[in-house]
Order: sequence, then C-alpha cells, then structure tokens
Amino acid sequence: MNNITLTIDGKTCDGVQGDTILEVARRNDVYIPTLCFLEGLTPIGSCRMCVVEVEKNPKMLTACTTPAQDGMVVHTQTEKLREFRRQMLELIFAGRNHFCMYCSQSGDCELQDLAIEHGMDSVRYPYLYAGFDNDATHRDIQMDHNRCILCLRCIRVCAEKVGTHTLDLQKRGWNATIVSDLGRRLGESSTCTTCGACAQVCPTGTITLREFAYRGRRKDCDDVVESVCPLCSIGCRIKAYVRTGSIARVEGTSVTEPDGGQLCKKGRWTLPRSAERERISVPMIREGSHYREASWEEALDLVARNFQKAHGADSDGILVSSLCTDEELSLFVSLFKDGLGMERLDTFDGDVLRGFVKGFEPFRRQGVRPFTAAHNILDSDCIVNLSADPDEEAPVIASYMRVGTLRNGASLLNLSCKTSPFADITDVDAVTATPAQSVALVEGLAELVADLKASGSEAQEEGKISVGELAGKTGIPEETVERIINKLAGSQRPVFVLGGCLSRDPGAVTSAVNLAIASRAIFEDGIGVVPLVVSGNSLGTINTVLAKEPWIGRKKLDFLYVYSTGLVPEDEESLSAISGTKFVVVQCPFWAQPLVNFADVLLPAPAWFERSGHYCTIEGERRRLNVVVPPKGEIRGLASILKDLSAGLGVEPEKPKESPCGNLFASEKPPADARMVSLEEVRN
Amino acid sequence: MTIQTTDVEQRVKAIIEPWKGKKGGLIPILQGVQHEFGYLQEDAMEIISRELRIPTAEVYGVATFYAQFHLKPRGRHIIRICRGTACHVRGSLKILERVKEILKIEENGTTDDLRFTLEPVACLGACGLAPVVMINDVTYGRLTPDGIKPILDKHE
Ligand code: SF4
Ligand code: SF4
Ligand code: SF4
Ligand code: FES
Ligand code: FES
Repeated sequence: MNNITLTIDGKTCDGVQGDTILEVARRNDVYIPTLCFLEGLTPIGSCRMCVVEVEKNPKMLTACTTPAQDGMVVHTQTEKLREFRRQMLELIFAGRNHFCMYCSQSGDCELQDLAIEHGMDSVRYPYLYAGFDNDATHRDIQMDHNRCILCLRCIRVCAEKVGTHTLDLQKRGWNATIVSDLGRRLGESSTCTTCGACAQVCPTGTITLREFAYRGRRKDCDDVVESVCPLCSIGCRIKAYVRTGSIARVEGTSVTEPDGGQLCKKGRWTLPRSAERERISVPMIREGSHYREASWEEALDLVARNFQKAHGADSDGILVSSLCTDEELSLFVSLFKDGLGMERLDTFDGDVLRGFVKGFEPFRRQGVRPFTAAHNILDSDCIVNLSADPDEEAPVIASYMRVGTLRNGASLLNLSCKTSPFADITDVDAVTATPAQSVALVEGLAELVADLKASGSEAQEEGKISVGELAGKTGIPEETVERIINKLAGSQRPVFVLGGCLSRDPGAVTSAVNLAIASRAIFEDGIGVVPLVVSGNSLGTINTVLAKEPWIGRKKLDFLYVYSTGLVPEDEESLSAISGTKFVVVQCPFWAQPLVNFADVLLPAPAWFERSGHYCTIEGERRRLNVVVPPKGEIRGLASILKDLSAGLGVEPEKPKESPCGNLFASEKPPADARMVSLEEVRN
Repeated sequence: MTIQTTDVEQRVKAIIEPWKGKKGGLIPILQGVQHEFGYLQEDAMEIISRELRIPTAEVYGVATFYAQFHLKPRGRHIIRICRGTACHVRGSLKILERVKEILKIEENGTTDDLRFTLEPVACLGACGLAPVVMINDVTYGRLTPDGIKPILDKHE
C-alpha cells in the first residue's frame, strides 16, 4: 500500500492510494458535508453536497467519489462551494414536499440539518408541487415519495446488505421514485422482509417506521446504548434509543460492520415492543386459580422448601433460557450444579445443541474448530443450504446468503427435504422426500467429493458409493448429484449453513462437517460450517447448563425452576413437561403465556434491556449485552436472587467460572489439518 | 388475445438464451421481448429476472427508465400527435382533444380493442406541415380537427 499526503483546508492529511478525498478527510477529522454518501455502501456521487475544490483543477469534484492523489491541495469550505451546496439544497427543497413543519422527521433529518448548516433561509427556485404517492400500504413502514431526494441509500442498503433488492428506482429525472419489485407499492412487495434497514439509512422523512415516529425522534432521546440482540444465534449489535425511561427505537450499529448494520424484523420490532409488554413486577404465589402478591422472602422461602423436598428425592430440575448471558448461566451452574451437585440442568433448545455438540465432537478432539464466523458466508463462492430456513432461524444469515449469491456471484445449493427458501437464486435445488434421505445425500456427497478432490478423477474405489447408488438412495436424479459434486469440487471456498432441525441427528452434523472438509471449505478461524443454533447465547449454554443427556419430559418431577426471558415462545415438549411437574417456579420478566399459567410461584426478572453480561455468538465473538434502562421497583438481578435462595438452602455456591465460551471459539490446529471422521463414532 | 403462460415462458426463454452467462443482456432482451409481444408484460419480466438472476426491482427500474419500453399492451396503430411549438401554435391541442373524444382514451392510453394507442410527442421535425400527426409510419400534415376522423377510420 502506498501512502499519500494531501493538504485539506491547510491541514496535512495522510491517506493511502485508493482512498477517496472524503475518506482521507474523515480519517483526518476534516468535515465535508455529505448526503447520498453512507459509509459501507457503494458511493454514487449524486447529491453533490460533498463538492470540493482541488487546486489546478477548474472543476468542483465530489469528494465521495474522487480518488485522492498524492500532493493534492483541497479546499472544502470556500465561498463558491458553500454557495453551490446551498443551491443544490434549494433545488432539492423545491423539487418535492420539504415543508418541514408537516414532516414527522423534522428535527431528525439530515437534509434539514444541512439546510440549517448552510443558512438556507429561502428557496430561490420555483417549487414543483409534484403529487407523488404517500405509500401507506405497508403495515409498519411509511414511504412518502414526496420527501424523497433520490439519494438511493435505501436501494443500496436493501441490495448490498439485506440482499433482497426489493427497492429500485423507477422512471427518471424528476419523475423518478423508489419502487419495489415489479412496480409494486411497499405493502404489496413479495420480497420485502420488513427489516427496516431502508428506514434506518433514509436521511429524510421519506421512509419512516411509523411506530418509532410515534415514540419520538432520535434527537429527543435521552440516551443511546449499544447492546446485542438476544433473539437469534447471530447476536447482532444494536443501538437502543431511550426516551423517558423507555425504549423508543432500536437500530443496527454501523453499515461498515460485516452485517451491514442491519437488523432483521425480529430485532427491529420485537425488542422495542417488548418494552411495552405486561411485566411480572412482584413475586406471586398461586392460590387456587389465581395468584396473590408476596414478598421476596415469603416467595423464596416457599421455593426453598419445595426444592429441598424434591432435591432429597432426586426429583428436581432447572430449565434455563439460552437467551441468558454467560454470567447468568454461570450463576445457575455454580449454585445448582457445582454447589448442590444437580445433574438435571438444561436449556430449552438442549436437544438441538446436544446434536451440534456431539456431531462436532470428533473434530474438536482433532483440535480444530468445526465452524466459522457467520459473516464469512460473504467470502464464499459456493453457499450450501443444509436443511436450514435462515429467514426464520437467523434472518441476517439469509441476508449474507442472498448478498453472497446476488452480488458476489457465489453459487447457491440447497440440499434439504424442503425446497430452497431462496427459490429464485438457487443453482441446484436437491429436495429429498424425507429428512433421512437428505442426510444420506450429504453423507454420500462427502465420500464422492473427497475422492474427486483426492484423485482428481471420479474413478470409483472398492466399497465406496457411486453416483448412481447415491441417486437411487436419495431419490435425487443422477445428473443433479453430478452437478452438486462439480460445483463443490470446483469452488475455492464453499460454506455450509446447517439448519437447527438437522442437529437432532448428530450424525447429520458430522456428515456436514465431513462434506465441508472434503470440499476444502477452510476459513481462517475454522471449517466452513455455520450452525444455526437457536438463540443469542445458545453457544454459551454448552459449557454451562447444557445437559449431557436429555432429561426433560423423561420422568415426572416434583420441582422445576424455569427461567425464561419471555422473548421467544417455549416449545411444546418443554411446556408439557413443565405442566406435568408438581411444583413449578417460573421466573420471567413478562407475563408470558402460556408459561406463566403453570407456575406455583412467579418471580419477576429483569428484561433484556435491564440486564448486562455476555453472549457467545455464531459470529465467533463474545458480545456484550448492556443495561439500556435500569430495572425498577421489585425487579432484582439474578445474582441477588440466587444469593438469597442459596442462603435459604444453606449452601455456598461455587465461584462462577470465567468465560464459558472461550474454548468454543479456540482452534488449536489450523483448520486445514482437519480430517474427515467415520460416522460410527457419533451414531452408536 | 390471451397469451398462454407456458407459451410466454418458452418464447421469453428463447430470447434470453443467447445472453445466458454473459453481461449486458438485460436491455437487448427487454427489446427482444417487447418486439415479440408488443410490450413488457409482468410474467416476462419475472422470467427475465429469474433467468438472469437480476432482482425484479432492477428489471423494472431499467424498463421504466427508457422511454422505448412499454409496460402495457399497445394498440395496433400508434397515433403520434405533435405537441411541439409550431404545431401548438397551429392548433394541435384541438386535434388531440378531438382524438381523445373519438377514441375515448387519454394521452398515452390504448383503446380497449387494442386498435389505437395515443402518444403526444415533441416536435416531429416537420414543422412546415404543422399541425402534424403521425399514424404508424405515415405523416399527415396541415390537419384540422374535422380532418382527423376519416384518417382514423382508414385504420382497422
Ligand atoms: S424530509 Fe427533512 S427536509 Fe424534508 S420536510 Fe422532512 S424534515 Fe424537512
Ligand atoms: S424493509 Fe428491508 S427488505 Fe424491505 S425494502 Fe426496506 S431494506 Fe428492503
Ligand atoms: S427514500 Fe430516503 S433513502 Fe431512499 S432515495 Fe429517497 S431519500 Fe434516499
Ligand atoms: S455525498 Fe458525495 S455526492 Fe452525495
Ligand atoms: S412542432 Fe410539430 S412538427 Fe415541429
């Protein structure tokens, strides 16, 4: 890389060859106004707000698109530039309906800010008074085309980061408007995922999220707190805006992150809406068909007494949400497992996780990490969907897959018992009749691809499966099997997205990793497998509460302590086990139906926005959950509650262990050393 | 005339075929499809999007950017009424109004029987003959409002 030096507004600024003038300026703290530019998106140079003058060049240049050159002398704030920018702003204002006092974004608008900054006190051009549509067809997203400045940020984020490319520009010149799909209004779009990314990046009052507009502008908020979204295994970073002690809106952090600063619809809507849900605010004890309020002492005393009885009879269990932080999970472990020697601890998604753990185990023993950070999907040239439904399981993964395919030109293969969730962009859709057949397909492919890569030919070895046999066994046409093999063998860095439903069979997980190794899916941090474990801290449960063997529903218990974050519904199996238990303690922040109906004692808990701690995410990072709003009233943190409970039980909890997921992310050996393993090991 | 879906699919795919795996095919394909069907119907754009793996919104953006593309069926005969300055001065608005009245369509509209499409255009380059109307490839000059009906009647 070549270093270059520029002089911008008299200041010596360092940059590297390939930087734009804007990049050099920003890195050196020189301000240049921008409007269409958004870091992380392809610059288009359309609004002309960032114009600068470069000595010895008669033209005004857009800093966001002009490459910086060594020795350039740049001026950003001359009278000529200011006048030009002001004219541009006036043209924008005259072009559409920018009468700010009628706009929900007034006070929270980049265009308005720039107008104020440039002293634009009047518009010298005739207004066009165009009558564009104010599109209110979408349930959550409002799109007032009369306020659009055609900066195309929305289109770019939707195409480059979300990957649905729902939005584009129709017509041209002053008649151009944002449009979705084949000329639809947003509410009629079949591709929009309601992720809200377009509204997050829109600099004006054009695309707004109605709900957030009601709750107040960003600038009216008292605080902005960074945290993580607990709702799926990715754990996207979020910014939560706080206004009068409540959450006004939630946004992604930065478009420059691999995730593009997007949030999926779960994070965007479930998180802020949860702040308005009905809370369990005091401890409650069941009396017949209703609950009565109780003090913490009384409630915990009742819990302790029932626990002791059941514990003596070895009929007790602890069921904890995997949306808990590492710290919370460790607290449960230190009291119940280490302190009281209990074995029956688990998390709701235990079965899914055990499958992954067992299936990964042989590779762990080899000292390699059998999975890679999720955003590495963006670096792959062949993305394979193994029975996953990413739009449901972890929607930002679906974005990575779409962007990888549509923008980076990767192939997309679907090997599953369901048709590809990405129908229009799938190269090979291999759909089997049964789940077992799709596992067999993966297994067989691993052998075939390994042979092909090893010998460079398809010569069949003794005892090994042939393409024809595999086709017969799986019901996938021979020709399709061939195509898959060729795609995998021909790609540099395939990646395999593993659906949670597969993991109930550890052999399926092992086969998937085998196939990844066979196709040389090797990334710096691990093997090219992205496991869609269930929630924010599913990985964190592995070294803490996750049971070795399943016990939920296996035996009728006398006592069950259930800790739920109330954010995702509990599964049927766990609910029926809970309802069949004699004495149930439910600790939950929200009045979460139907779970709360089964409780004999209800304990309040801090909600996601009132807690702090760490999550182990499938992005391969330990991310921090922060307190956004401090808990009010009788709501206490888990540590203090468990402390009282252990005092009541007369036990001293063992000190919580450090970082439960440290060893999960570690890789002692380079992933390239990984060897395929025999399935016998995991299937017995 | 209704077009069978499978038929559309085959014909569109045939137009796409030579462009598969190549860049820069979208506009020629759209032209080809329009030539084949007279306009760009939604199904056709969906097929193009799927086959070329270009998002529907992008296809639509391109199709609406260029004036040469039409998203609605067009009539068998295209009436272009000049609205340039010279023609305007010599009464082209009255002719336009008369045509709208006779055919019961608006500017850029098409009659229900797909007989005519009416398109006001800027100067046709025949100002000496103003006011000028073009029907398909034939230019009619020095027209009066009353003179237009017999000309229309000649087109089936
Ligand atoms: S979009 Fe911005 S500039 Fe336009 S009316 Fe709204 S607040 Fe004013
Ligand atoms: S909500 Fe998301 S998917 Fe829908 S148009 Fe906006 S960015 Fe695209
Ligand atoms: S809707 Fe917003 S982001 Fe999109 S082009 Fe218009 S002003 Fe820009
Ligand atoms: S910010 Fe550079 S042209 Fe818009
Ligand atoms: S103005 Fe009508 S032909 Fe020129």
